[in-house]
This record gives sequence, structure tokens and C-alpha cells, in this order.
Amino acid sequence: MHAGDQAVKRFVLRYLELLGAAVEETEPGLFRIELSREQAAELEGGNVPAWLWTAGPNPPSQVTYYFTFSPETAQKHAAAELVSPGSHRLQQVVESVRNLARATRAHLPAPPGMGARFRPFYLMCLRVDFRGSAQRGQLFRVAVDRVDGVPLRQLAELLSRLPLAAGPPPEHGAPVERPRLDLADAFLAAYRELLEQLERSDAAWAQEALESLIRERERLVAYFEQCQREGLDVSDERARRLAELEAVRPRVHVRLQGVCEAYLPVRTVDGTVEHLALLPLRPAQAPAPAWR
Amino acid sequence: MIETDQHTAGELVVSSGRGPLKIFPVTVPIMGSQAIGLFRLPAPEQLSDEHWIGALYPVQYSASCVEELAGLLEQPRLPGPEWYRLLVEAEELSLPPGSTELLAPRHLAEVWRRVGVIPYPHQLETARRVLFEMGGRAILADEVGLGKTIEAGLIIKECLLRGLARRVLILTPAGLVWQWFRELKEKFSLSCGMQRSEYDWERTDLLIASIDTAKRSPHREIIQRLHYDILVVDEAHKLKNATSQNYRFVNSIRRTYCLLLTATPVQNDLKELYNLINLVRPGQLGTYREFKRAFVADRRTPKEVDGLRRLLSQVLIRNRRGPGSVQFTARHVHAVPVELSQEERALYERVTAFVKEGYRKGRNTYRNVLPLITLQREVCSSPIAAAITLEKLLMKEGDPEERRRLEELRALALSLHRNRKAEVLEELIAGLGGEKVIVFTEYRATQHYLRWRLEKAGFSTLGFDGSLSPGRKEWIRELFRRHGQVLVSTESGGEGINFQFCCHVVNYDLPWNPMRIEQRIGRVHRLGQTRDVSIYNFATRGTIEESVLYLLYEKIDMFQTVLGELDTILTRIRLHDSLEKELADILVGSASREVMEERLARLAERIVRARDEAREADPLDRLRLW
Repeated sequence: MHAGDQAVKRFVLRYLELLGAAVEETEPGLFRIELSREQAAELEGGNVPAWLWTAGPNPPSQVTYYFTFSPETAQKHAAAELVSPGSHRLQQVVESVRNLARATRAHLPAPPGMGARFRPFYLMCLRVDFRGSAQRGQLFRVAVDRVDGVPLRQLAELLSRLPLAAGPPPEHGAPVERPRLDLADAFLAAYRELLEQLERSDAAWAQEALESLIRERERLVAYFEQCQREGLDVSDERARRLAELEAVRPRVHVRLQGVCEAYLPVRTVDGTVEHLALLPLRPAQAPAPAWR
Repeated sequence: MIETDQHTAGELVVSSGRGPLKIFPVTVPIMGSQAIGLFRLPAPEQLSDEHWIGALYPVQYSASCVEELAGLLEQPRLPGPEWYRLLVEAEELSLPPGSTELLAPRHLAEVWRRVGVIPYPHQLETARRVLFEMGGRAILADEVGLGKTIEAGLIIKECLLRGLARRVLILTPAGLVWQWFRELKEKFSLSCGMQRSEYDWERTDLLIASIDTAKRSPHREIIQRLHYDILVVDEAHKLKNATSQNYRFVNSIRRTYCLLLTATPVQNDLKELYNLINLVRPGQLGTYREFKRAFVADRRTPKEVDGLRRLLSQVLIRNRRGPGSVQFTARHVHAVPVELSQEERALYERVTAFVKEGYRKGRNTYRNVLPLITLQREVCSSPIAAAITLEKLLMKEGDPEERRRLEELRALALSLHRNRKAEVLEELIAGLGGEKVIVFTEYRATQHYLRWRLEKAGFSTLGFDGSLSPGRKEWIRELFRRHGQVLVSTESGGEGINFQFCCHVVNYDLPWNPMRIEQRIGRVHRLGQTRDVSIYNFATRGTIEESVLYLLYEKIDMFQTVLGELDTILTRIRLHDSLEKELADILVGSASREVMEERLARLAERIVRARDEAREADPLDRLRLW
């Protein structure tokens, strides 16, 4: 199986598990999926699933799908849907995840007896689209400390491997620090971090798009000037066509795709804030990491 | 709860929960009708100020997105961290690839597998070239039947998947709006709107509209205010005159990408080609004066062919059929002669005498003799069809002698209990072993009669005609595909709906206009047909049907003419609208059979000569763009 197909398989099966579906691999590569009507509607993006059209007045409470992630299995089973990179079903799962998981909440349990308190963070996932004559994109993941306003990129990476628990910290446990930044402020901190990264990164894509735009503009201007010399009235068209070129001018568009309100245990040692989550990961004698 | 009848269309009525609600007439596409309904307008995205990176490019963020998420975070219960991790994975999977490999084929693989679409290599290559080499502006000039709509659909889908487009406008002749809707829905999972009211222009991102509606006020002004990411114009040869209203309207639409679809970007004059190219990429060929000086030897003959070819290949793609390119399945044409019974022959002879007499009696304009011509043709189709026309003539006739003759003819037609042609049809269908068949007839009366006969003989039949709504046509097509064996269709019903899943076509009676035969056959013999197609042409011996078949089949080999070619031929010999008239004059107005045959032969020669000239003189052929 292709590496991309493996990633899709892992992603879709995890989604189904979190959704609460009953998944059974009936034979190698073929998955039978049982969903309740509500779960099926969620998967189908709120659309009426196709089975309802033929279900009659008493539709079944369970809906069955057959998914496969390999083209070979799809060839063998007419009823199996091939879920692959770019497939419509994968797109549905992606949309469903976006619908369910744009805002989440978590905490990392505090180790007992260390005088810990919880510090609030926002884990953010920003999508950065580079638009020009072509289109590419990347993700920018960052954790923003809501008390001192610092964006921490490595922490965002690290937290994805830590055993975070759902919801806010327990009410009667360690105290929670009062955040100074709301989401808008925290996002601006993350955005400034992203701008700094863009300033440092290779801008060949934009250079190329801009050069192509300039060439096209020069060609059009020369053409319309020649038209005018020949006595043709092209002023409206000239303005329209030159304005159209702006649509392919290189630009970057940033969207905050998802956020997790996370509470992480910290303590203060000799005036320095220490992240307790990192203690087991740090070599015994190494100095505290300089997050900033 | 909002009562819809308290509000007028377009009125902002309420703001509740997640955004404003607006009331609009909503088109229900399947039924093709309208209903009043409520829908939520997506709030326009609020973007931040621009921050420039060097002097190269600006960066903006979506402020509305941040605001929306802030609202969500106020909820006391939210999903846990495992969902956040899944969201990150989802975002990684949905990033557009940097490569120039098309995304659409993978995205649509499952859809295509289910509906049986196999994209042809030339279609994929065309989509790739348009997007990555032509900057999304091109004329798709494939020969008829090679799937220009598929190519355009692929390009639209690819742009949507890559985030390159959001607002798409497809302008077509009114008769093709439904076909575009169906093709894009079925083959590309694109749910487009079909323009019905002036509100549709702004509220629908993917819209299919009739160009004739779009160019009129108030629609034109609304369209001119908008910016389209993709503009598609089907049958774009109707834009080849730069002074026409169509051309000026399309030229005034602001767009980023532009696709013009036509099989005949040039017919009579290279200026037509220049005009189309200028719509797609102004100045590509210079000003017209420069173009003429550099590339035009005479109206139809290019010069500096290499240079012109290079410039055209940057904006025009033409795929052709034939060895080395796109191959169609074979057509097998069978003439099915039908011997009339004595009673049927008697009716035919008496009707013919009546018609010829009427023709000679000074009813010498085509309009006046049209009912007679129809009668003459109907008597070959079915006596019941002839009887109905005789009834109509009788109602109009004041002369007692004429009335008596009409009554006699009508009585004779109704007295016939045997129909040889229908018997032969039953035998033919029975011999096809349950294969699906489309039977074309020109007459509704014949259609009803045949369905009655065939049902009685145990065949399951469906009727298809021009009176059906688009939704109902679609439904009947689906019924036929799944359950039906015989579809009896009248002419108008045959336009625009395709039946590649069927490979037997019966021309129960022959239209006199070859273009309509081409349209009939084109319903089944097109790209996507995987089997050879059999065409059965019924003709009653010793009648005008036989003469028409002789002309179309033997003389000009009409049934093997390349799709799309005939349109050009008829235009060249200026017979596009008058071929039926000329045929009527020959078949009914000739003094004797010998004269008729001689005149038919002369007409055939004209058509064949025009075809040969068209094949030799196509300026695009000379440029060898493919």
C-alpha cells in the first residue's frame, strides 16, 4: 500500500473509532462499518444518506458501509468504497472532523506533590495558503502561552505526544492561572511568529509568480497601446483585463483551522517557570529548556 | 418560525443563531420547478489588513474565522485532545500538492467507477495542459463527440479541489443547461445551480445559465458587477463575430480563467478564429491588422503556418478522432425494407395521389403544402398517424368534394388492421435477445401506437418525447437504463439526453433533415459507448421513404459521416434550413419517378461536393494543431 494510502487508512479508522462506529475487518483490507443514523448523517455532512431514499417508512437504525483503502480490494468487491487520497469519501471525513473538532479542550494531569499550578495555553493549527499562478499550502502549528503571550512552536509539536486528558483541569485540584490573552490576542501572537518565519523563508514561488504577472501585464499594455494607435477604443477592456490580472498576484492567506484550549502544569523554581510536562523528557543534569 | 409568505424574495428577514437568513426563490433542480424557501447566506469572510513580505507579496488572515472559533470556545463542553490531533491530520491530508499531477481523477475514482466513466487520456492531458501550461485560459476545440464537456468538468473540478476557484459561471444555449447540470452532477459530483431568477447570479457559486438570458437586462448588469474565477462558454462558435451582442457580453465579463468550447472555431473566415482567441487571451495574435498582415493569405488560408501554429497552441487544444488518437466503436448500418400489404399499398397510393394533386393545385408555398407533405410521410409511418392528420385537414376543409375525399381516406386509414412495419419491428426486437433498443419516430401518434403494440407483444416499453420536463426525462432515462427494454422516442425527446448504455437504434421513420439523424445516432454512438452500434433504418418499399433512404444512405453515406461534419456541409451549401423544403419539392413535385431520381442524384452530388471541399479546406486542418 502507498504511504499516502496508509496515512488515509489510519486517519479514517481513527475517525470512525472516535465517532463510535463499529468497525470490523471482514477480510484483509475490507472494513465493514456500522453507523447509527445520527453518525451516518454526521459523516455525510448533514445530507440525507442515500439509503434513506429506499428505506421506506421505517428506516433501519443502523447504516452499513464497506470501505477499503486499497484499489485491489476495491476491484474485487463491487460494494466496497475505495477511500483514497483525494476521494470524495475522504473529503467527507475531513469535513466532518473540521465540523466536530475545530474547538477542543484538554489538560495534562499535574504530577502530585510538586506544587504545580495549571497555565492556560492555546494550541493552534493555522493553514497557510500560498496563492499565485499555482497553489500550495502548509500548516503552521503553535502553542501560545496565555499568561505571558509567548508563541512556542516546539511545545506544539511536543504536546501532540503527551498524554493529554479531555476537558479542563479538575475543579478541586491544582490552581489555574488567570489568562491575560483571549483567542484574538493569542492568534495575533501566533500570526506575528508566522510572519517572521515567512520573512526568513524562500520566496522563489512569489518571485516567479510576480515575474510572470509582470510579463503578462507588459504584453497586454503593449497590445492595448497598439489598438489605440490603430484608432480602436479599448479603454474599458484594457481596464478590465488589467484588473483581472490582480487575481493571480502572489499572496498568502492564513486561516485558523482549529484550536485546543490546553492547560499544562507548571511550577516556579528560583523565579523561573518550569513546565512539569517536560521533566521526564529532560536529561537529569541538563538545564531547563529555553522556550523563548 | 418564519412564515415565508410574509416576505418578498431577497428581503433580509431575520438574524438568528449563526448568521443572517435571507429568503429567496429556491430552484428544486430535480423537478425543474421553483419553490419559496429559506436558506442561510454564508457570511462573507472578513480579512485582515495586508502585511507585505518584502515588496513581493501580501499576507492576510481571516478575522471572521478567529471570531467564530472564539465563539465556539465559550461552550462548556468541547471534544478532547484526540479530536484536535485528528483535526491536524485532516488538515495535513487536505493540503494541495505542489505537483502538477491532477487531483480530480483520484478524487472522482469512486464516482467514475460507479457511473461507468472512464476518462480518456486525451481528456486528462487537455485538463493538465489548460491548467499548468495555459494559465486556465483556453479554447477546447475537440471534434464533436470527443468529450469537451468532460474536459471542462475536469478543469472546473481540479480548480475547486486546488482552491483556485470558487465562483464559476457556465453559459450555454438554453437547450443544454439541463445536460450540463446532469453531466457535472453525475460525473463530477458538482451540484450546480441552474439559473432561474436574477437572484441566482449572486447567491450561487457554481451556476449554469442560458447565454440568451444572461445577456439581457437585468441579468447582464448583475453579471458585469461580479468577478468569476472560471467562465465557461459552450457552443462558443456563436461568439465568432466580434460585433455581435453575444461576443460583447462575454467580453465584458470579468474572469480569471476562461474556457470556450466549440468544435468549429473557424468555418468561413480566419477572423472568426482571431476573435475567439482574443476573448481568451487578448493580444495573443496581436491586433487584427497585425494578425492579418502576418498570418492571413486569404479569408480561409493561413500563411506563416509555423508561427501561427505556435501561437495557437498556447491557447487552443484540438483533439481529433482517428488512428493514433481517439477511436470510436464501429457503426453497423442495416437497411430494413418493409413490403406493404395490399391494403396499406392502396392507402399509400390514394394518399400520394391526393397529395400530388394538392401540390399541383397552386398550393405552391411550402407552408401551404406542409400538411400534405406530413400526411405523405405519416402514411409510411403508421396509418393511425395519417388518420389523425386527415381528421385535422377535414376540420379545416370547406369544399364538399375535398371533404368527401378526405373522409374516404380517413375511413380507409382507420380500417387497416394490419401494420407490416410494426410487425417487422416486433420481429427485429424479439431477435435481439433482450438487448435495449431505442426506436425513433417522428410522430407522437406512431409513438403511442408502437408502445401499445410492443406492450401487447410482451416487451416493456417507455415513451420519451419533447413534452416531458427535464426532470421527468432524466427519470425515464434512468428507468430505461435499469429496467426498460424498448424506448420509443420522438425527435425532440432525443436531444440532449444520452444513452450510451444502449447500442441498438431503430429509425422507424426517417427524418428528411440529415442533421436530425445525426442527433438521433449521437445519443448512443458517442464517447463512452463501449460496444459497436447497430442502426436499423426502416423503409417501406416503393414509397418516398425508400427514396429518402436512397439519398441519405446510398448517395451521401450519411450514416457513416463524421459527427459534426454535416453541420458544416449544410451551412456551406446553404441548405441548413431548407433541405426539407428542397426534398419535399423533389419527392412530391416531380412529374415522374425518373425526374425525381435525377433531381435526387443532383442534390446528393451537391452535398458530397460540399463535404469534400469542407474536408480539404478546413483552416484548422491546415495548421495541424493536434
